[in-house]
Amino acid sequence: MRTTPRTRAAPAAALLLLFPLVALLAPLLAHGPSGGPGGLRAPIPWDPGEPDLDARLRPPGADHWLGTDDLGRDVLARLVHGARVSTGVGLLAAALSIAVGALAGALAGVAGGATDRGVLFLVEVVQAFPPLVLVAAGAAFFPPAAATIAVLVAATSWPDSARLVRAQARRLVRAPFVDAARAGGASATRILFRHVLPGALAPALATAPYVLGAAVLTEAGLSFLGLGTPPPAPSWGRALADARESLGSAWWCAAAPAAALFLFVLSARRLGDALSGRGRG
Amino acid sequence: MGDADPPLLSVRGLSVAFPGPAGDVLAVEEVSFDVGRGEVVALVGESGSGKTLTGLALARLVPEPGRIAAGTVRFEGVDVGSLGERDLSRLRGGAIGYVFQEPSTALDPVRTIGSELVAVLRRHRGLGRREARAEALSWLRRVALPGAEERLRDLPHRMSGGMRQRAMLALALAGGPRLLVADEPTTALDVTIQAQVLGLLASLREELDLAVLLVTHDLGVVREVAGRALVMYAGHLVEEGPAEDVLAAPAHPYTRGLLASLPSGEDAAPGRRLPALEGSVPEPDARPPGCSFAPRCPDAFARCRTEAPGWYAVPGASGTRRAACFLREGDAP
Repeated sequence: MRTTPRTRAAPAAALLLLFPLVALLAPLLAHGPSGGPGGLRAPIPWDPGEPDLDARLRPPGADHWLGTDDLGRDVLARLVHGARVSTGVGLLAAALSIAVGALAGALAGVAGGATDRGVLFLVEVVQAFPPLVLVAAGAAFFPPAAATIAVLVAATSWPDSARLVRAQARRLVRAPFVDAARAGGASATRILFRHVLPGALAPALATAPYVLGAAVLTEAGLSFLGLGTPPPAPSWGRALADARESLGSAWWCAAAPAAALFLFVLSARRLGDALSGRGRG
Repeated sequence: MGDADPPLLSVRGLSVAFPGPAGDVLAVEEVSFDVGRGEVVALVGESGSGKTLTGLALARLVPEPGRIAAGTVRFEGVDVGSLGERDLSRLRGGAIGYVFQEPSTALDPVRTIGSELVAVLRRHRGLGRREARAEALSWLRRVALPGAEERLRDLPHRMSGGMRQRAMLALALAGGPRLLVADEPTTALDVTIQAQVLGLLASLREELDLAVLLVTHDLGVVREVAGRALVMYAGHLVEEGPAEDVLAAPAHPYTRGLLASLPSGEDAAPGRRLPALEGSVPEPDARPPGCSFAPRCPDAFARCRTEAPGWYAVPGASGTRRAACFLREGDAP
């Protein structure tokens, strides 16, 4: 059967959409008996931050569907709330990364000359550093917060979209319609934003799922190292770190966030592959 | 030049250079001409003659890495070379409008005709958004674009070639130009559409009292619309005069060659080959010494290969006629 990019993208996109959806609905999906909005009973009747020392490390069962962690907190409730951190950081990082990359790339492609060389130099400097080192160093320096992580991830990932947009912009700036726009008196700014960027953006947008996946992984990695989103936010990476002690006896504490991360990143990358026409068959 | 009433456009000694492996190469060399108010002047030549670059140079639009190496362009008495970015973008699309050959590539594929027209009207005519939208519609009606109202919201790919060229004409005229530089405006169109667009151009020109510099290789088009003709070869102007005279009695062998390769009444018997100019325009970095046309010229003699000809006046019925050819040396004006 012939598969179009659209049909290949559909399942990945559907799975990927699940995460922001869960993140948005997290306060409704999981809250304690008192704390819910509108006094509704949540399908997951546990507060993600409320410890219950009598119910530590319970295996998955009827009460706690995915068990409890070392402080007796419901793993599923924390997973659902953790989706807010991961998708929030991921989406913000992807948006920042593409905005900065597209702007820098288009500017370089349109202006050429010294501007172009300057942007390319920056791109090479950033890409020559191991990104985790840069992000970890930054995370140790700036106040820990989800937004900090997003900015740091964006700061290391913008060169990819900058390169892609620059290549397109260099092609477009020679297009007859750009010459015609110039002959019509269009300013350099208008040419950049109205005539070049719209046409040069597509390849950068197609990388968004990759940036999203990488940002989610980086956030989890930093949280695992204790440099990520600070407690009490229920980050998946921190859950993994906390689960290390009890890995032999309480596998569910690690398995749940690991599976969530795996599915998130996998669906993001599948969508990226579908959008950029890779991974056929 | 009379100080009291300078011509609309005055070009003197214009040279356009491109960097080459062995120094600068002149794609346009020492070109001088005037265009008066409301006058239609054809700039004629083959591909590679430098005619397009000459048109672009008028508003300093020579593409990188090319540059204007020498000469001055005066528009309405103002030296275009001295203008800053701001004045320059007011000139481009404002006082001087441009129409290009390929309406399919010269219109941005992702922008609607309406939004482009509105942008031009706001930029050059200082209109507000609402006025500009109304004016945009009236321009599409003036260029007789069918279904003008819907066309405002159309992207270029939804229109035919002729419609796109009409839209581009509207874009070029909406800024209120005094000079329209039309570079091969009908070359990409079917013959029937060509005639329509030329007719439209002629009627709008009269209505707006517009001067037109028509850049073309098509002598048929020149005959139809131009008042005066400038013939360009290998970066040089080689002949200038009233279009009628130049076409009826070409003074330069190059012009004669161009004319001979047009099918005319008697020659165009079926099965008979049309005469063609042998060879092609030399590249700017491979021009021969002396007259650039000498290698292809049927009348060339020894002097043509060593010495570049200057201008010689050509006797004619009306107006100034001149040609850059030694054969005209003997013709007393």
